[in-house]
Amino acid sequence: MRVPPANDPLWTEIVTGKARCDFEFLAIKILLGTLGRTWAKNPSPVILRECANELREFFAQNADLPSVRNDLKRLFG
Amino acid sequence: MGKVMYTFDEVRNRIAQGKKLLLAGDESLLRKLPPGDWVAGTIPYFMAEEGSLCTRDKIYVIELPAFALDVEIKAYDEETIPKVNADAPGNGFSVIIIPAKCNTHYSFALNAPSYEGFAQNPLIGWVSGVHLDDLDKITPKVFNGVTTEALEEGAVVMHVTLPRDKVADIGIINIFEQGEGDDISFLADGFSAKEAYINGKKRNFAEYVSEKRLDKRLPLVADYYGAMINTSFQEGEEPEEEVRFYAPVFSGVRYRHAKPVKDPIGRFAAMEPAGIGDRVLLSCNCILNYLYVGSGGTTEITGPTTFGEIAYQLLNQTLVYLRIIDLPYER
Repeated sequence: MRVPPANDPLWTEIVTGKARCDFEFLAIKILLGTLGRTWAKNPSPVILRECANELREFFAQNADLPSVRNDLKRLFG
Repeated sequence: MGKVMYTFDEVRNRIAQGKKLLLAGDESLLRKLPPGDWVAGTIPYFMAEEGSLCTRDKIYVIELPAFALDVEIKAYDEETIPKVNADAPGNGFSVIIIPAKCNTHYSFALNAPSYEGFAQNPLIGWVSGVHLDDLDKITPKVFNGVTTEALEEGAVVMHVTLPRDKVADIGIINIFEQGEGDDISFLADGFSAKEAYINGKKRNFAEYVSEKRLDKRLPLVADYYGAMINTSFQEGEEPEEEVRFYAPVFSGVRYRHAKPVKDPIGRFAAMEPAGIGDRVLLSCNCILNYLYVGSGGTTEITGPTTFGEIAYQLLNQTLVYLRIIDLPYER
């Protein structure tokens, strides 16, 4: 399944909490808890980009899992 | 629900047959087991076939299915535990057991979210303990079955490789939700706190807990994008200068005290996915649920009762479980 590119604005919006999604995959929620905290402690564009890239990479590496596919559909349609 | 509690002789025979085992039981039994493909943690409390059980005479056994391709058992210490995710197989899962109150336990709890590969591969497990009558008399231990070495400092991990048409999936059952009370956040990461921000205003946290008469059986709850993550209060002698916890609080996280649960046993049952009992390979539940809920909570899922649960990171007052899912394709 295609994972949107890293420059898709939705990745940063997920990290900042501007975009919310009812994720199915527990690991995404746990990872986002950490990424959100990292960004909140140092809310710079560089940190936000790093967190968004890590999130996108997570989806890319796990895109073959059924629950991750469902979460991608929820996010990007 | 099949048999899960076995005698020492039954476990010894399984090891001799080359079975790959995850074990929990009393130290006196685990110490006598022969070498083999097993890892273990000490505890005498279980969610067993008949419900909550306390025994020093039997061992809880999880036998890996025959389709598990490969198993690697490794011992880690405080210095090497950051590599636990990097060592995980490309498709599989890792089971970690850590003795309560050792340096590796504290280090893992605080630092796991910053480990290389955090959350990339299924990491599940528990913190081993002892009988509550033996607290401060006997140390919790974990065992590397390959060497039969008992560790009171460090961790043992079984890394399991699965065939590419199967995937491991970790789930949690947490009966607690954030209450309607104050927003609480902390100045620093740690297992204790002197001060906290209460609705943005800094104050002494022990005084706040006392003033609000917070029921310490109910945890602080953080909302991780829909996953409710608990941090349990550790009871201490009053008056306390610091409030202590069984897992670290993290700065930058917004906590709320949990809502009371009217029917915790019923809530556990309601939150169990239907038919999950037959599909769960391994599970464990927090000793605080065992103590406060009474039955350990669940109706279908068995497992050791633990001094902390691990689903990618340390959790409290939560049931964690792992299932193996068949894929209609290969990864």
